[in-house]
Order: sequence, then structure tokens, then C-alpha cells
Amino acid sequence: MTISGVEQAGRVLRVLHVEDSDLDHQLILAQLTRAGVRVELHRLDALPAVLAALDRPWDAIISDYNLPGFTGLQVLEAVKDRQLLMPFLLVSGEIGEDAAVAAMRNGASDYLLKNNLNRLAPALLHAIDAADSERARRAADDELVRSKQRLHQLAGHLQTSVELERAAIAREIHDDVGGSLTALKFDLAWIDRHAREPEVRARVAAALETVSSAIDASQRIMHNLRPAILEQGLVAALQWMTARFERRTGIEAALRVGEERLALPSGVPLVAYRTAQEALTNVSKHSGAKRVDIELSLDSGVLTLEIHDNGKGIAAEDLAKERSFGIRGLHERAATVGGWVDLSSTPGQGTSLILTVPLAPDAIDALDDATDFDKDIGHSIWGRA
Amino acid sequence: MIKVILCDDHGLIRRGIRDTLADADDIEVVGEAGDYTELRGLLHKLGKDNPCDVLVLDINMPGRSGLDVLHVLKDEGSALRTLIVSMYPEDQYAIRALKAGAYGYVNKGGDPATLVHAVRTVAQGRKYVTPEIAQMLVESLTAPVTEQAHQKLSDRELQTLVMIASGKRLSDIAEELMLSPKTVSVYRARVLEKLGLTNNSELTVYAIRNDLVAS
Repeated sequence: MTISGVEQAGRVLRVLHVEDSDLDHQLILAQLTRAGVRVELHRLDALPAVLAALDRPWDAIISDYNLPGFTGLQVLEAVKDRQLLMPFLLVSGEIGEDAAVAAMRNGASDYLLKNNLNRLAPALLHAIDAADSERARRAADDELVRSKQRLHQLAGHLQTSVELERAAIAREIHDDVGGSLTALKFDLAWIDRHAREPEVRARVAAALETVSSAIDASQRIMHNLRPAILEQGLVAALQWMTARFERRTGIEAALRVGEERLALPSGVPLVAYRTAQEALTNVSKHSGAKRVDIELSLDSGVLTLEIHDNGKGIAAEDLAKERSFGIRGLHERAATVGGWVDLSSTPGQGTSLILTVPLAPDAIDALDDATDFDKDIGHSIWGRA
Repeated sequence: MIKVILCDDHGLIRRGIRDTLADADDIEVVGEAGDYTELRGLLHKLGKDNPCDVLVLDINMPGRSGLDVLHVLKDEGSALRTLIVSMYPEDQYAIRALKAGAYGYVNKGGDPATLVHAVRTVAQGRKYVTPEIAQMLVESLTAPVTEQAHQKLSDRELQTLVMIASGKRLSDIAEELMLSPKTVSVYRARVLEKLGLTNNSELTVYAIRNDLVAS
């Protein structure tokens, strides 16, 4: 026979015994002691006292069925109501199969007859072991959920920090590097206008070219770090992005917006901009599309941005991969402002990337209440994050 | 002699622009300012009537940006002709600057001769528009960019409407469209709002009435 974890630990069990017969109480205590179980068995037989006792810690409950003014099943019910992970053994005289089955169904760990208590000790130890394991499993699950949440928050913080840092660097480049290079160019141009010797002028011409390309580079870097156009608003930035995309790639690109002026909380425009930016990059690199449509709308307190191309689409297996890697960054970025990203595609029918951001904290709750899709969906569609 | 006022927060660049304009015989820089407050003081000092022919104004100053200054001047009914300069390439700001009332837009990092040409153009009362900017302006005329889509349903919303009216459940629609259920919910809410309806049954009736689904 395997040694139970309880026995190994050698601990003294605190057991609540709901029983009105002191004789039966002594019998059960003797049975357990003989079997080598170290136990403190506390007897109670009044329902209020039993209910109050449930607030104190116990390793297990052994309960009779027939009690003065109540039944063991009521005690079991109370244990369930309090959501205690508590081994519960029903030990009784004849109560009939139906009642026994009902007890087991309701969560009793075991059912034993008073005239056959040989099994009592092993049943008790087994029930306690099972409860211990369940407790450990739940703790591990909780820790996993908390760990995931922490990771998620960290990713969000990182995104925000990265963007803040980028904005700061772009500003520095604009003020220090860009400014100085521009001033330098003006000075070189002055020298060019005032110099006589051909060698000097030739050298200045070369220097002007160098500084011009340095200025171009700094402009490009500034833009990649933090697009200035975004200060004009998300719509302006998307208009500019769409036009530039079409010019550069030759892929027809159209933007459709619901309103010219959008009042968006801070952080949201940049997330939408970056999402569109990445989506368009993917379109030009992978899709083989001839046309891309971008639609921005703000209704019912929710912002959506959809980038749809008519390219070759993504096969199901690749979609799963995309979903885990390519889209992960977009999803984390969207999450920093409380939104999410959908990637929808069918081979031959193009691809859609949709960013959704609820703008009011209760916007999504309002949607939830409005859902009357199907009575058999008992839980909220937000059931799992 | 074309009288010019410079307003830019970067001292070295002001000097560069000043030197460039000074080398042009027909242009004289009559004042310089490092920000909006200094500019106001300068304009006040030079007199309200025609303090200068051209104001060369940086778009990206801390505090009040060039565009804000433009708006203020326009609101005051000022007759000042402003040439916007910037370290950013034209295609991002030019149209907006022109729409806000500027007479032209020049990239500071470009050929300095362009600046001189632009000042001369603006001094004549003409708008300074490069071929690239002209191209962008034309494109913005014909592009159907900001459709008033508010009352009309988007393709996605229409799709959602039809699927709901066909009796499909949220989870099925989400699976078929490859979207998360939350997203389908968003589109559904929008359809309801745009059409002024309150639940799926009404949606279905609407769809049948408008021949979107077979009854």
C-alpha cells in the first residue's frame, strides 16, 4: 500500500465531526487511531455551530446523514457555498442509494456505512491528498495567469518606453543635428558665392553634396523615429502615408475616413499610425496586391482601422504562424491602448488587418449588454481575455 | 528693396538665412525673432502698417508653432505675407501651410537659392509653389479621400448585417470572417447605431425589407 502524502508528513489532522451520537463519535475516533491516523476529532451537532465552525481551518469534515433538525447534505451544501476545497466524508447508517449518489454528485469525497468503517482511514487520507493536489494545481494556474499578465504589462511598458525614447531622439536630431547641418549648408553656400578660385569652389561643391545627403539622412531618420505629420492628426498622417505608398510602390491605395477631425486619447494615433505602417509594409513585401484600401472609422465609441489588400492572401498554416509572430508586436502595441488586432485572410481573396480600439472604458461593456445573439451562449463573449 | 523679417528658434540657421538673403541685392533683412513673443514685439516696433514684405517663419518652433502663428495672423486680418520654412520635406506640411494662409513653403535643407527665389516670388504677392507641391495639390483635388461615410455602412458592417440576418451566431460569424468575437460585436453595434435599430430581429427585418437576404 502506498504511503499517502499525509502520512509521510506525519501531521496531526484537524477533523470536524458532525455527529449527534457521542458513541458513534468515539467509535470513529477509535477506528482512525487504530489505523495509525493522528487526528484531532472535534464533534458538533448543532447546525449554527457547524456553520460557524466552517470559518475555521479544517483538514477534513466527517459528517453523519441524519442530524437533529438538519442533514449532512446541508452541511455539504454550506461547504460548497463557501467554495472551500474541503474533503467531505459522509459516514452514515442506511440512507438509501439515491441519497448516497446525490451526496457524491454534490461533491462529497466519499460515502461510508457506519457498520463497515474499515475503509475509513484510507478514504480519509486519500481525500485529503486529493484536496492537497487540487490546491497545488490551482495555485500553479493562478501563478501562470499572473505571470502572463505581468509579461503583458511589461510588453506594454516597453512599447511605450520605446516610443517615448524615439520621440525624444527625433526631437534631439531635429534641434541639434538637423539644425547644425542646415546652418552648415547655408555657410558652405555662402563660401561658394564668395570664393574665386576654381579649386575652392569645386571643393565647396563637393562639401555641399556631402552635407545635403547628411541632411537627407537626418530627415529620414527623424521620420522613422517619429513622423512629424502625426502632429497634424491621424487623418492627415494616414492621408500622407497613403499617397506616399501609392507613389512609391505603384500599388493603388485609397483611404476612406468617416470624419476629418477625430478626438483621440493620447497614444492612440501613434498606435494606429504604426499599425497602418506595418500593414502597408507587409502588403508591399508579400501580398502581390494591385490595390489596398484603408478605412478608418470612429463609431459607437470604438475606433477601427482596416487595411485590406486584394493580393494572394495567406494560407491557413501561415496565418497561424503570422498570428503568433508577425502579429504579436502589433497586438502588444494595440494592447497598450486597450485595443486588439485581427488578421483575416483567404488564399486568393486578399488579406485584412483590423485594429480595434475602444475609446471609452465602458464602450466594450455597452457592446456586451447589447449582445443577444444566442441564448445558449451562457457566458459573456468577453469570458476569456 | 524687399524687406524681410526672420522668425526661427535656431540662431545659427537664422544667421545662415540672413547671410543668404543679404547676398541678394534686392533683399534686406529688417528684423529677427527667436520665437513668437519676440516676433510680436518686433512687429509692434516696426509699426503696424507693412512692417515687412515677407515674413520667413519656421513651422517647428517650441511654444507656438508656425501654423498656430499663421492662424493668429490670419484671424487678426494681418496683411503680412508669410513664407513657411521647415526642416521637414515638403510633402508633409506644404499643403497644410498653404491652406492655413501661407504664401509658400521651403525646405531649409534644400538649395539656398530656392529660398531667395521664394522670397522674391512672395514679395510680388504671388504664391510660391514648386512643381512637386503643385502636383500634390492637384492630386488632393481629385482623390476621393474623405468620403462622408457616416451614414453609409462600410463593407464590413454590411457583411456583418447580412450574416446576422441569415441567422448565424456570433461565434460562427467570427469564425467565418476570421475575426475575434469582440470585433464582430463592434461591427454589429455600429450597424445598429447607423440604422437606428435595437436588436438582431430588427436587423433581420431590415435586411429582408432591403433585399439583402432572401426572406
